[in-house]
Amino acid sequence: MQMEQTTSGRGAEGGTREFLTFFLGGEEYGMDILKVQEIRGYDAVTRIANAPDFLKGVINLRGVIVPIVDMRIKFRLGEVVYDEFTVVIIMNVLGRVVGMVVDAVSDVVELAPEQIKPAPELGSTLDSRYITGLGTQNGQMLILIDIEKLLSSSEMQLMDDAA
Amino acid sequence: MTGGATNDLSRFNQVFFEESAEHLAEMERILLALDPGAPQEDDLHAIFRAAHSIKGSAAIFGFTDMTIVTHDLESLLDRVRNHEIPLNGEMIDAFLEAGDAIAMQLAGHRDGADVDSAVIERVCKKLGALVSATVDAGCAPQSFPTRFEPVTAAGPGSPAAYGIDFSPAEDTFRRGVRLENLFCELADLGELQVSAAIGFDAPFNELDPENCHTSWHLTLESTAGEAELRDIFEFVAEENELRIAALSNAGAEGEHPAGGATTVCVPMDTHPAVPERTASVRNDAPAVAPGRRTAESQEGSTIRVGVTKVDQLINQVGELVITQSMLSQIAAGLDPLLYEGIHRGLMQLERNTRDLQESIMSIRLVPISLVFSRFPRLVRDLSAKLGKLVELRTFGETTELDKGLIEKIADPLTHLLRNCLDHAIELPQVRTAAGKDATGTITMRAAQVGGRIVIDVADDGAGLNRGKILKKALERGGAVDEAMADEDVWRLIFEPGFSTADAVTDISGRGVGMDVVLKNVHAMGGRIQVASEEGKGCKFTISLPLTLAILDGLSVAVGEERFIIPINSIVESLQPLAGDIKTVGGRRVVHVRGEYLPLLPIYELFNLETSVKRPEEGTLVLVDAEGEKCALFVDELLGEHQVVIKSLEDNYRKVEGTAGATILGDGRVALILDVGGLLQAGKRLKETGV
Amino acid sequence: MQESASGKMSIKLCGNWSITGVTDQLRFLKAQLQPMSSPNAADAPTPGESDPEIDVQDVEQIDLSGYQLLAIWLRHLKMLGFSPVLVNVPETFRQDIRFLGFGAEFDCIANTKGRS
Repeated sequence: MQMEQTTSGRGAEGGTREFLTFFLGGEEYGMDILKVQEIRGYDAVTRIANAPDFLKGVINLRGVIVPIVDMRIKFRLGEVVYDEFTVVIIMNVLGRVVGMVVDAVSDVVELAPEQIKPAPELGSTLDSRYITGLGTQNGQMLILIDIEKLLSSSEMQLMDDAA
Repeated sequence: MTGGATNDLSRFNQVFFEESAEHLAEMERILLALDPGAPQEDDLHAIFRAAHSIKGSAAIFGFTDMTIVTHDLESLLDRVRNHEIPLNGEMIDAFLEAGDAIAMQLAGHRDGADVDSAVIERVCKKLGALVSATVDAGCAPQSFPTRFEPVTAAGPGSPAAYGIDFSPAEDTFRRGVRLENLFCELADLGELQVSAAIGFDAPFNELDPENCHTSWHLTLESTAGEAELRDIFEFVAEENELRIAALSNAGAEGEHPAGGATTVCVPMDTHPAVPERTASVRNDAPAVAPGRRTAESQEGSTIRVGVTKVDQLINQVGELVITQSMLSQIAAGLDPLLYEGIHRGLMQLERNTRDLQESIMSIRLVPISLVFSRFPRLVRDLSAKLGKLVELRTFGETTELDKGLIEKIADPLTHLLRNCLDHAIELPQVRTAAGKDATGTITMRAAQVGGRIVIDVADDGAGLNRGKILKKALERGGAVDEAMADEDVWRLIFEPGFSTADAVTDISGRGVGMDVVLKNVHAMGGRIQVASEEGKGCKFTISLPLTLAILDGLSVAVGEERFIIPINSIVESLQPLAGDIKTVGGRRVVHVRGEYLPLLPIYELFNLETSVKRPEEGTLVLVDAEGEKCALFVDELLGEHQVVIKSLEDNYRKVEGTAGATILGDGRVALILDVGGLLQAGKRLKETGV
Repeated sequence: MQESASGKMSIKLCGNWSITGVTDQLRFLKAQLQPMSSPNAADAPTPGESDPEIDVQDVEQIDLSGYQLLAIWLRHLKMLGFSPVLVNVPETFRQDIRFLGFGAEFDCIANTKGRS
């Protein structure tokens, strides 16, 4: 008896994934491109009282109030300057829109699974819990971060239920 | 053979639950207002219709258990409304109980809540007994309807013929709709003939058997009115899926095949030719236009719209308001003479925008009577149980609240009311002994005061017992003393687990207490106050924000930032003299006309940089939050605006001391100050600051 | 029902034909339709010679979605040139079909129990 079911899961999955790469204090990072909503320049923010220092404040993104975090402050990565290259990656994470300040956005790269290696225990500033692996592209290393996990973590204090 | 499908609950149509609940509520409302001695004809019919609707749709959705109670209820109601038996108080009680039983069954199907079959049985028995009692008494010579005999709501007059075209939505089966039962309901009304047309002609492999591909043409000869037919389809068919047309008698004759074959055969080719389309069936039905007209004149001049759709509208109008104010700001720089047309146009735009906004905001508003209306029943039942005489008075039932708030306020209010009944109102003999009227009074009053909704729950009972509360607090190891102010003592009752009830009753002393009320009210952005006088009574006042997404605000500057202070909380603004500022225990206060008000510097509360650090260099805005006053210290006032409240929680989290944010005409974000919250924050500042 | 032994092809329907079962029944029906719709296969039944006899005795439950599915399937069989016959049809089944207005679709109920 012949089943008419369409064969599923060929190609795409298990294959290459696309990452948006960006710089934070001289290191190059990559995040899942599907989480990125848009990229925009850094504008003045409205400060929020008694928020952690890395929460720069909130901006108006076409009528939506969006919090902006600066990972360079959060993870003490390099010098925190705001200039014409400073960009904000607007992300859509867990149904929320959040902006992340980075030094620069560089590229969109495709990585095959074999190009992604597990990250060693670095004891680095960026907790290895939030690093999904290290990617290699043209001899350059990318630190791939799990942005969802990072932004929803209690230490980011972005959501009410997080202490 | 039809039947037996064990349907997955999630498939069931939410509309059925909602509307059945509404029918139940309506039934209860009418029952409570009903005078057993002289019931209004209309009311009896309305109750019957409600019961009948629930029964019919329960059958259609396969909830046979619900049809049993509703059937018994309906039987009795039918006889009452036909004046076969007189209404009495006992019946009203039985009707109310039946309503509860149905509600329980409904909850059982909806939430999987427990259904106590003993209760159902008891209710059925009671209803049955009431019917048979009157039958025995011989006041009803007519045949007594047996359980599964159809109860037709037959009106007077000769039967009319209807042509019904019914094309159910594709998901009808999956929603658990039992059309078989629907046809049964129709057949109960008269002579029914059914013909089906299957509108599926794609390759067999593409068939989704769970979809409904069939449409029906029905003819019905019945004395029932069209409204009754439509009621049967109420939960099943959207307007565009159903056409009912009254057939002329001659036409009806033509419709029916001679010999009264039970099936009107649809011209359906059995050849490999093109399968018959439903359209040809439709053509049989004459006079579609009258059907349409009656559809429009149906009681339902309302439509159901998802709340998300309304919210989307509200957001979009919010955007429009911002754009409009941006345009106005730009135009303000244009020469009024040269650009008169633009200015006029913009003024018109502003008016239109505001009107549009008001209309849209009002969509979400519902009267608080939706909540208040449940209470007469509660009071009636509980006071009887407690042996107390209580009169409930409600005021301001037309006060409108946001739908979201209505849903959330019901629980705290119910809890307060239960407390009043259980603890506050004394037994009649106690009241008489104290020289009070034997009947206690509970007053619920809703009103819009400024930008907030204020709801009072007051009773003329014993009042809070200060000594008892203090004793209890001491037992619980609280830091209390005899010298505490009354307000501080009353606040103790909101502590978790606090109860002074002598005995835990099943009415209110369940351990969950006022702390839950407080929590719920806080969650709505509301506040609660208590006033009490021993022997005279007690009053709880809940104040809620309107949560209208619009607010009249005063914009102020603090350093680089802008804030919005709600106009309705502002008393006045002033520029103080250095001499008016004093220090009390390390905190600054300002002396205004004999009053010393605490000074809350916004730059301090919000950790901002500003050059204006001395009150005499800036401006003080005196604000009032439920009787507490304070002076907010800001750099300067900027102007009044109508602002659209945006949630900070959508993408971020609640920020203390704010009631959200807004977007200013220049596109910047400004936080809206929550005066009550600031007062609390200010107090903490005091505690940590000294 | 001796007819079933007369070289005709017999298909037995059974089980749950209500909304919770129709998806499974569809798979079964597709499988039944498969050989009939590939006339080039050696053992393919041919219209006229081996008209299917459909036995519904073991259908345990059926609702509107089941009748609809069955009707559509019968229609497809007819489109392929077969003349299916429904046998062992319980009275309730007949009543349902009439009541639900499917009479025209089920014109192929065997006369064994008297066609109404």
